[in-house]
Amino acid sequence: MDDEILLMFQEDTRESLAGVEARLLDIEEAGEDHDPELVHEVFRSAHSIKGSAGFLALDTIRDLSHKIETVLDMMRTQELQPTKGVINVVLGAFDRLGELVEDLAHSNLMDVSDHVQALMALASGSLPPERQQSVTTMRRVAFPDGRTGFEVSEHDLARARVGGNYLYLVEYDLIHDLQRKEQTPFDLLAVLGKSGMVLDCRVDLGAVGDLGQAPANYVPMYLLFACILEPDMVKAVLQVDQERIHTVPVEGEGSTQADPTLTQGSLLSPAAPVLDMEAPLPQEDNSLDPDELAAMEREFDLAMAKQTGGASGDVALGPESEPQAGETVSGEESAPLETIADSPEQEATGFEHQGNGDKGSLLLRGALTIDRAQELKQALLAALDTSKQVDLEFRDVVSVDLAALQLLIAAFQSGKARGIGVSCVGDLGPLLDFARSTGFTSDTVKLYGMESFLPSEA
Amino acid sequence: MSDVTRTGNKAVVTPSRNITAGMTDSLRKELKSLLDEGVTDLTIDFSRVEMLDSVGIGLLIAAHNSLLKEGAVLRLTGVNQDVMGLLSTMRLTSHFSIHSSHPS
Repeated sequence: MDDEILLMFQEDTRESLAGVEARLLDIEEAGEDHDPELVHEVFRSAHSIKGSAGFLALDTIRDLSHKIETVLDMMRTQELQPTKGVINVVLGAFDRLGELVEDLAHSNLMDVSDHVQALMALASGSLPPERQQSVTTMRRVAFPDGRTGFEVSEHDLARARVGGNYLYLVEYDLIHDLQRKEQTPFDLLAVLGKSGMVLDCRVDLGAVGDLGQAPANYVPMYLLFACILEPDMVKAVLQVDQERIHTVPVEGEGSTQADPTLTQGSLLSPAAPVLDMEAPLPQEDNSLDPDELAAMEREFDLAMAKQTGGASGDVALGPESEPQAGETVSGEESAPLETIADSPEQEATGFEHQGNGDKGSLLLRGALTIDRAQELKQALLAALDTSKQVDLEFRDVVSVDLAALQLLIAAFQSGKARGIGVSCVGDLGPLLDFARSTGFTSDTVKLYGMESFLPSEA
Repeated sequence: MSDVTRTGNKAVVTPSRNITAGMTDSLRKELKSLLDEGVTDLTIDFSRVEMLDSVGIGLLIAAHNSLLKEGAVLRLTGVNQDVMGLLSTMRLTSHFSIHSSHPS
């Protein structure tokens, strides 16, 4: 095998699988008292293998890792307990995955049906009877031209929407978006994985046409991506033009026709592009431009207006349409977000806010990632409402992703507009490292007059 | 203009220069003409090709798609390391049959 990318995938997957067995056995031994982080780690392994295999057209590896991922996700959400029987099925499936990875050339022809059935039985068996069929009922997400793009189970769609996630169909051009920027699809998948969840990935050679058609110099690669960022914000993470980001409607709202090829399936046509951004992102670098910052500021102010000005106590910062399917699968309705007025100290956020009218401090902790964007947003809103100078204390922060960086910048811009100072203090290493990696350098800080926000970078 | 060796339904096309925007129209016509004449076993010899641009990649995929309708596979031979790296990065190596050696 002389295919470098396949070899890279094989090597990475071997590495990823190496620690899985020990972790699963630790989980089994601890039973209900297992460390949730261990389950997260094993889940991430399966998820990452699935994503790469999808791009590489290693369909059997993709399908098997996908089913493993589904079961692990149920363990994460405690819908499924890690009993000996459950762990045995997962271990067996991982073992088989390892065999497939050692024979990539023939992996698509190798039989994994026993493992898939056992995993599916675990997944559906752990659900109430009325939801069991969601594991096998498929829906299709169409490409913009109406052709079938992805086939996804109702269960997976619901899982993707849990927590208020939006679902996007995103079109990349392998030539102009990746190859010319010296990025590989793996780089892209890795970056996006930090800000959301890549459900599926597919290269669409059919869209290029044949010799009888007009020449095309693009090769589309589609991603199905779930993310908490709203349609007008998500472009900053996806780094493609707005017209290539399609918001997939919530199940039931966009269904237009039955799909006879799929059991009880229906078509989920991606909606037309939702918003036209005023200015495209810079194509050659990732630095944030003034329009982008202004857009973030507007978004943040809008959220703030909803929070502080609305008469209703229930404020939805997520999709306007509630993620109905997500509620049914998780068994938990998304808790209505409390208004700041109802809970000024935001005790539930995990971020500690102290201070008075003149000066306040918001102690940020752990990994500031897309998963915690909602709570970070609320904590920032609360802090801005309380003090004229807000110090964001970073001493306990271990990492920052793009969603968090956006929120922090939006908080600074909103504060500035209201005469409130916002500064990052403490150990800014993780923040600065990430900011620089996105092109947010000392020049950017000076350009936008943000020296008081990021003093170490000025 | 390319050199073309034809035997029955088999053809080997050797482009005379890099497959880039300036020459793809003529190569497209040559390939299409061969397929229209019933060629189902098509090999493009890259021995004189050092570079491939985005339009060239589009042309190769278009040829692949045309052959696919006939149940055939596009073969590339004499592919140099740079072009191989590009095709590999774009994962086209799983769709085309690619060899670094010259056609037999």
